[in-house]
Formats: sequence, structure tokens, C-alpha cells
Amino acid sequence: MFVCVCLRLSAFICVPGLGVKVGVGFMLSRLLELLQEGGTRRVADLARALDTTPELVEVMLEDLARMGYLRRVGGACGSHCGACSLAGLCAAGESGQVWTLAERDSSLRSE
Amino acid sequence: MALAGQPNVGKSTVFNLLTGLDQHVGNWPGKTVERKEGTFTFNGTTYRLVDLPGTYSLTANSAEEVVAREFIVRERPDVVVALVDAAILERSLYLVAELLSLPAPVVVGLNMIDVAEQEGVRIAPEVLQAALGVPVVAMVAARNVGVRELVEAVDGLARGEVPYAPHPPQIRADHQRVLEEIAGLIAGCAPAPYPLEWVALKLLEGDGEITRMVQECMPGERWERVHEVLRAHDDALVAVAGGRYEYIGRTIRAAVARPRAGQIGLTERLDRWAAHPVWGLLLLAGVLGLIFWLTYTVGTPLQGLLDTYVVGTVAGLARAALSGAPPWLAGLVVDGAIGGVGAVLTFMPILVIFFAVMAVLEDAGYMARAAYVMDGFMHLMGLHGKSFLPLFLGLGCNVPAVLGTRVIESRRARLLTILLAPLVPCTARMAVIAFLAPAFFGSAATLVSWGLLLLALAVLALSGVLINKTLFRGRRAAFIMELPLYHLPNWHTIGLLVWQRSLAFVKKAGTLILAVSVVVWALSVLPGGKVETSFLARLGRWLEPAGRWMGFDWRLVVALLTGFIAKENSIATLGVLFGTGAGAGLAATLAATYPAATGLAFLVVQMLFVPCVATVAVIRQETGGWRWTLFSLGFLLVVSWAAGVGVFWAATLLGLS
Repeated sequence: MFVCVCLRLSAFICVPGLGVKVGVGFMLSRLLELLQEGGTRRVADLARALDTTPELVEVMLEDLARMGYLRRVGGACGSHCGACSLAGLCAAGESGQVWTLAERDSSLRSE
Repeated sequence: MALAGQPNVGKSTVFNLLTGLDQHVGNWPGKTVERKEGTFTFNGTTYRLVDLPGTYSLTANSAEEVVAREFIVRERPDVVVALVDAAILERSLYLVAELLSLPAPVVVGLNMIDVAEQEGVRIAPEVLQAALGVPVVAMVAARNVGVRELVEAVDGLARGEVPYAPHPPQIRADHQRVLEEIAGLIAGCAPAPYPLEWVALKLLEGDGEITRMVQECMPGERWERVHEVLRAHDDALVAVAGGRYEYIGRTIRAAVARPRAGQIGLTERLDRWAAHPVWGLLLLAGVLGLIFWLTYTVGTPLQGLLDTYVVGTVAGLARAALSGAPPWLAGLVVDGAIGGVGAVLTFMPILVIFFAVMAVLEDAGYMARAAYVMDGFMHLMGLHGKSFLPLFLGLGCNVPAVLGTRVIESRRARLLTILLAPLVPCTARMAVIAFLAPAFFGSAATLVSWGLLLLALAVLALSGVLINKTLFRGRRAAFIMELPLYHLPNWHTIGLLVWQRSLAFVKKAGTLILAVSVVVWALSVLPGGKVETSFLARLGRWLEPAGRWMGFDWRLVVALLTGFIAKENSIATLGVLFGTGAGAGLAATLAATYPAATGLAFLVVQMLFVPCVATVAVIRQETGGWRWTLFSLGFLLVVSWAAGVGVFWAATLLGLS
């Protein structure tokens, strides 16, 4: 059984622990850890994993976005929509909020 | 006594109930934020009540928040009443968490419990009180319930008659030492009324105001040491905020009971299928097929009716009315204007069905599941990169797809995704295909267009995998999707939406299409008056050799080109060039003129062709120049041509002529 301690957002240390339940730790940090594993997750799944309500997960996601760790995706047509005659249909490709990790740490930046 | 809380939580109601007419409105000194102050008497004591601006937290991000916290720190109210919204404690408790780090005693007013109860949220005030360590009073301020109890609690606390043992939130354990270190470094320089620990906390949070204040207080080198520690822990904000969220999470878990029945439960049950990696995908394929099926069973017949009874009739009337007029006028009106606009008019039933179905799916909440399931499918194929979601947006319209590539940090990957984005068939293209497919394939139209769409999605998937393998080296990007609750579509909303969008289409496209049709018509009869020798024919013939590989003649080539302005113009052009012949609709005329293999090739090319001018403009904007834009155009021309030729020969070989 290993206990992984998140020192900073870019480094992990795993040490052997005895009978310690994995999943101890602050929700916000664990949320970021879960996100850094990659993959697409639903808010409901995150709430289950963090043992809390979806509403609180949403509040945390918004705060993380404000702090610069997350970024919103989609929903940008801007001024181009004015000229488009099919303006209603472009929303067909997206619905609900989608966030992605904004890469703040230089160690995570690609190329 | 201060009244704090988020906007719209009922502070004004409580304020007015307590102070009545005995209030004074002004401004906070030096700020444009409104300040409300009043007095009331209770149990022999006169209280001065100050209504703080509505805020969610006490950061330095807005004037309201700074005003609120400065009041509490500098003017030291005897009690701060924190009004929270019982229905969304997750949001309202953050302010309480911040308030408990300040020196003033807090009483929590749990307002709007009637709304909470309506939504099935049950909160036990005593449990909340035990968890927070401060008095909690349940209220419905709007009905003057609980206000008296609130004042009693405030009074009791102010007199010291009520025990007060708050449990403030703690910073994440691994940062406790850092907090103490900072506190030690800034000792003596925490500006007078501000508590030292709080200032240290705010510094770790990166609070602008506090940072400025502390920096001004101390000499350069001393600040440098503080700054170094702060820089070494620049993610301390997460530790601080995390402490508060942990606090909120624990409190909610203890004090709030939320039943899982109702909408939430239904959504979860439906999502077991709709968001399932396998069943969800099959469902999605089915839904797409259904869209096409509906379009053809309902839309196409309507289209035929419109063609015969409306366009045909109007054309006939116009021709009759203009029989005495100069031939060019008759041509302009009948072949040009009516031909072009009429063709697009018959396009409307399909478009309205598209609008309607999309609106229903979106309103019901299914669209988000579609995106989620497609993404899951991509993961199954090993595609984890960030390119997928922008490309998926392209299914609606290519413009947001190109703009959506901004999430991709790597320039190379971004460029490649932008190059691939136009390959995703947008709804405009699909609508054009939906218009033309029945002409060539009759009852098999559903299968053909469904097949084309699935083919396009397969191409999208394949290209996504390619990008991921070559550019992202298989790294897994992280996405979080919020799936809204399902609910029965609101037919009124949908009806309104469909009406608005259809009207918008008619207005915008109508004028543009009319203009394009007239221009096309003009180019098709000048200079000689005969179509075969016109400018348009010359242009078309010049490009025809490329099209002949697929059985195109110059008219199909020209139709394809006019799609550059907006995809629906292709239909208008076909309408102009093939005329509104007596009785025969456009669809029938096309079917009679070209073999099915050519029709199929035309559909494929249309699907992969150069995008509309709006998309090209956005590509130019996002790639920062013409080089990559022109490359993209060239790339798409080659791809669409190759695909068209391939399909044509395959179809011919399979005997589809």
C-alpha cells in the first residue's frame, strides 16, 4: 500500500504506508491530481471520487479557472456569428461547460 | 453590527426589516460602492447596522470585497451577520469560511430555507452550528420568519451571554509551516488593525492589496526575503483555497441531506445508457440516423410540394406577367431571382427540421452526452489529445472549431488541427447533402447521408489518432465536462428558437442568396445571352477538366465554387443554372442529368471541400497570415478532389450509374 503525497503540482513522492486509506487529502488538491491523470471526466464522476456534491465540484472548478489552472473550452464564435445565417446550428457541436487544464507549470508545457 | 453575504441572498430584506425608515444611504469613502447604514433598537440597546456590499469572498479582486473586509478589520463591528443561501450552501459558505479568519464574531443567518426545502435540501441548523462553531439561525427573511431569532442571537453574542467557539478553516497541513514562516518575516509590518496571521494568509494567496501594503511598510531587502518565500510557493493559493473547500465539504457532508430522487436520479439512470461507452455510442449513431430519417420522411415531401406549388407557380406567374417585357428582365426575375431564391426556399423544410431536432436534443440535454460519448470513443481508439474537442465543435460549425484550437498550446499541433478542422462536416454542409441526396438516391437517401456522416466521423477519428500519435506522443489531455440534467424539452422555447433561427436564416441568407443568384444568373447569360457562351460557362469550363474525372460538367463545378460564400449558395446556383423548368423540380432535373455515381461524388466533394468564407477568415486570423491559409485551401482542394474521384470510380465499378 502506497501513500502518494503531492508536494507541489508538478511532483509526486510515493512512500510505502501501512493501512492508510488512499484518498486522504484536500479535495482541491485531489481534484487537480485527478485532472492531471488525464482523460475526460464528468462532473458527476469527480463528485463521486471526491465524496462530495456536484455543486461543490462546480464551485471548485470555477475557482480553479479563476486561479488560472483551468480554462474553458468552446463557445467562441464571437463577431463571426453576425454574418452567419445558420447561427443557431453552431451550438449543435457543444453543450454544457467543458474545462481543460491550462498548463501553468513550465514542466508541463509541451515543446 | 455588519450584514454580510453574497448578492441576492436577502440582505436588503433583512436590513429594511430591522431599520425600517431609519436608514441612511451614501458611498464608502473614496469608492463608488454604495453604503447603507441604519439603526434599530432591541432589548434596550441601540444597534448601528451597516449593510456590506454583496460578495462571494473577501479577495482583492473587486472594490466591493475590499470595502467589506476593510470595514470588518478597521471598524471592528461587535457582530457580523453572515447571510447564506440555504439552497446553495456550496457557494455561500465560502464567504463564511473567510469571515471566520477575521477577528469579528459571526452569526450565520441560514436564509431561504423554504426554497431549499422545495428543492428537497434538508439542513439541520444545529448540526451546522456544531460544525461551524458559531450560532446558526434558520430564516425566511422574505416572510419575516427567523429575523427576531437572528437579532436575539446577535444580541446574546454581543453581550457575551452566548458561548462562542468558532472552528475556522485550516490551511493544508504541508503549508502550515510556510504560513508561520511568512508571519514571522512580516512581524511588525502587518498594518495596524490587521491580524498578523490573516495578513500572512493573504500574502500566500497573492492578494494584491495586502501585498502592496506590506511591501510599502518594509525596506527592500526585507521584502525580498518575503518575496522569495512566496515565489517558492506560488501554488500556495491552492493550499489556502483548498483549506476552505475542505471545510465547506466537511460541513455540507455533516449538515445537509439531499435526496437522490427526482431529476437527479432520472438523469443518472438515463446516463447509465446514454453516457455508456458502448451503448451511448450506438445510441448516438441511432440518433444521427433518426435525424436524417426525419428529414427525408417529412422534409423531402414538403420540399417537393413547395417546389411544385409555390416556386413553380410563382415562376409561371412571373413568366406570364413579364411576357411582354424585355427578355433580359424576364430572365433576371424568373431564372435569376426566382430560380436561386426559390431553390433555397425549398431548402427551408429541411433546415427547419434540422433546427427543430437540434433544439430538442439540446434542450433535453442530450447534446452534451453526444460529445462525451464521442470523446470516450476517441479514448478507446487511443486518442487522448486536446485536438478532439475543437474538432468535435466543427460538427456544428467550423468557425468555433478553429477558434477552439486555442486550447492547444503546441503551435505545431494547433496548426495541424486547424488544417483538419474543415474536414469535419458542419451542419450547413450536412443540410446541403440532405437536400441533394434524395434527388439521386430516392428512398436510399437516409442510408447514403447517414453513411456519409459516419464516414466523416471515421475520418475525423482517424486524423485525430494520427495527430495524437505523431504530435502529442500519446499524452493524455484532461477534460472536464459538465453534463446538464435531462429535462423534458420546453416546446414553447423550442418553437420560439426554431422560429427565430428560421427567420434569421431567411433574412440573412435571403438577401445574400438573392444577390448571389442574380450575379450568377448575370454571369451565366452575359455576354451573349446564351448560357453556353457566358462568362460563367467559360470559368466553369476552364475548371471542368478536374471535374470531368467525376463526371462533373461546368455547372456542378460552378455550384461548388459558389458554396465558398456560404454552403447553401450551392443550391441557389443549381437552381439558377438548371432553371425552374415547367413542372420538373430541381431535384428531378438533377437526377435526370447526372448519373448516381456523379451525384455521390458531388456529395463527397461538397462534404470535404474548401470551407465557407467565414471559416477561411478565421483560419487566416488564427494562423496569423496567408501562408498556412492558402496551404489549407490547397490541401482541401486536393483531398476533396481525390475523394470525389475515388468515390466516383468505386461507384461506377459497383455498377451504380
